[in-house]
Amino acid sequence: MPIADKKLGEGTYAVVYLGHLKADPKRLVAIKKMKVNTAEWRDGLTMDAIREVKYLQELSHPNIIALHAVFSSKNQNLNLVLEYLPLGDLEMLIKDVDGIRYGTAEVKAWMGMLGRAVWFCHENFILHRDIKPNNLFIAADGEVKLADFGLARSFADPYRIMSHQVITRWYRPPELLLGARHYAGTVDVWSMGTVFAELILRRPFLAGQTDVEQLELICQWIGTPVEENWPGVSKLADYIRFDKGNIQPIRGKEFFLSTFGTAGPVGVDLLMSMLALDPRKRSTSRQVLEHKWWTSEPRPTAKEHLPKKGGGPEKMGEDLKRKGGEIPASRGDSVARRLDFSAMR
Amino acid sequence: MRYQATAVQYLKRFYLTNSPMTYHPKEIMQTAVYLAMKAEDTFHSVRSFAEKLDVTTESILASEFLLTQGLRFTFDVRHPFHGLEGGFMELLAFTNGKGEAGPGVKKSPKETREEMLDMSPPPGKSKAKDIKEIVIRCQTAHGKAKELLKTSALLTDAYFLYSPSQLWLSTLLIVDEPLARFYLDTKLPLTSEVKPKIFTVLRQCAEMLRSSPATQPDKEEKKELKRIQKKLEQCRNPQKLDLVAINRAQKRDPDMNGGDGLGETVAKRRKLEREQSMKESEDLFGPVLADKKG
Repeated sequence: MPIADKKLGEGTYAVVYLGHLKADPKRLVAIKKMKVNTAEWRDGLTMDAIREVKYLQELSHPNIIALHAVFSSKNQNLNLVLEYLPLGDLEMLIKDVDGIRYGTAEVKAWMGMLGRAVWFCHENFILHRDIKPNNLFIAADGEVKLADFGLARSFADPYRIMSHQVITRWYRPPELLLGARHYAGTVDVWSMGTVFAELILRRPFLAGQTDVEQLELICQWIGTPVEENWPGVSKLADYIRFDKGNIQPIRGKEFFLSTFGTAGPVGVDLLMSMLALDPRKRSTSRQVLEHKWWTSEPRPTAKEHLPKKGGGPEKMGEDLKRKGGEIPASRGDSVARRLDFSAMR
Repeated sequence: MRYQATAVQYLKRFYLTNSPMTYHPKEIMQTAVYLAMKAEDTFHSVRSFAEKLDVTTESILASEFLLTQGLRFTFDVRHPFHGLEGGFMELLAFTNGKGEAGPGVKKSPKETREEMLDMSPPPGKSKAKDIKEIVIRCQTAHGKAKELLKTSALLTDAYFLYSPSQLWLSTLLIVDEPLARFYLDTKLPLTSEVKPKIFTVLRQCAEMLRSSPATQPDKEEKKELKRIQKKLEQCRNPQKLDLVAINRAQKRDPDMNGGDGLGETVAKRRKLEREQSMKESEDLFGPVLADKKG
């Protein structure tokens, strides 16, 4: 039986409290109270709440946030008792360029934990559809945990269409930007790839302000999707004919090495396989885990030695109350709106 | 199809712990369908949904939370449909000579294809002359099995007692037993000890599916339904008759204690008592000591 102690954060969609177990006051939990009937939602329980409960209840994995219990309160609110993860999220570590230093071994440790979480979701036929650094919480022992299943869904039955308006824009794969209605676990792998790149660069890799700009950034940094490198791409609903003179062929390994050299040639190889334009050529989450980068030098840092920032409970409250697919307002302002690519051609 | 099946299971699960004498199945049914649509990613706004059923939106949402509680917040229902589709894709792959047998079964794709041609025909049919006839046989079995999963599997307690794979395999056993045997032979070696056990369970499950009531009630059953409905009208829990009103009361006064719509006055009285006692506690000699009688 959990008891709520204090409020950690409140958003339009949920209120988060810090709580403890009645039987054992030392064991802390986060209680996420879902709001019903907000101004913009009049259809009873929200989809986010249903999805979050549905999937977290089924998944039990060291790298996925644990849902201890669900209970209802008198005024018909759904309350989720979640694992308490006090050390903030990966985004905070990435952003604190001056305060926190880390290298390839740390990146490998974090990516390994993310990779196992995503693989576990896919193995259970669940697409997460909102992987990004601020959905990756850090537990007291340094373990990274995937959270926020508000946009998740099960793999669709064959031929059934799915929404392409998912995944926060910066982490959204090209097939969704082009309006694909049938997709697979590889959408999450693309997001993983962009998180990988972000961990190395220490700033969002492809930070488009609009969907169109996002697609432009992908064209510039990865390559322009055309029939030759992605058979069938021109049949996607929102496909744009790219200007013939402006087509960027798929970037080779040299290019990636110049930007992500710190990951080493094997790491860059993995990154490229996660950021393949054609989802059929992209690695699956299983292939990601089977990549030889994990067994090559350097070894991943043990989780107790990983850098910690201590975002504190307030940060967890801040993260949990947010709705899926949103970019926090403070982000992006600091990122250059348009990067100059003229030197790279 | 998926959300209909989920809705039926929600209804069945809800009435494991609730009585139809308390909550009328007709009301819970609408909400179950609506909730299942949301849980299975087939969202429609409550307005359009209510319009189609010609009821108020409130009547659908009023019991939504109640149903959620009755389900113990478990929205996930494991269905046999995915397994069925996968199994038949495998069977069709065997007809093409592309199917790989399971681990421990030493058969080449070619041998399995030969074996498939040699399979004993379903009762009343003659043996297949070529592979085309086998393909048709698989497709017919697929259609029939799917139909059983949509009806018998949902109308009986099979979902509570058997796993999704047991469910679809037992429908295959019902519609085409030699085909079911062939399929399991490609998965498990002939000497496997678990095979007889699997067949025992599959037969029990098939027996349950065969005992399913028809999807449409016949004349006798209709008569019986009318009688039950009449009886239900007389013996329903009067406190839970108007779910919409109860729900409204709960929303209006979220802190009240009772869940039956009558708690408002009780809460008011307690509040007054509390205030009275607070006021008195400020007196020099404290509040009046509790009466021994009360």
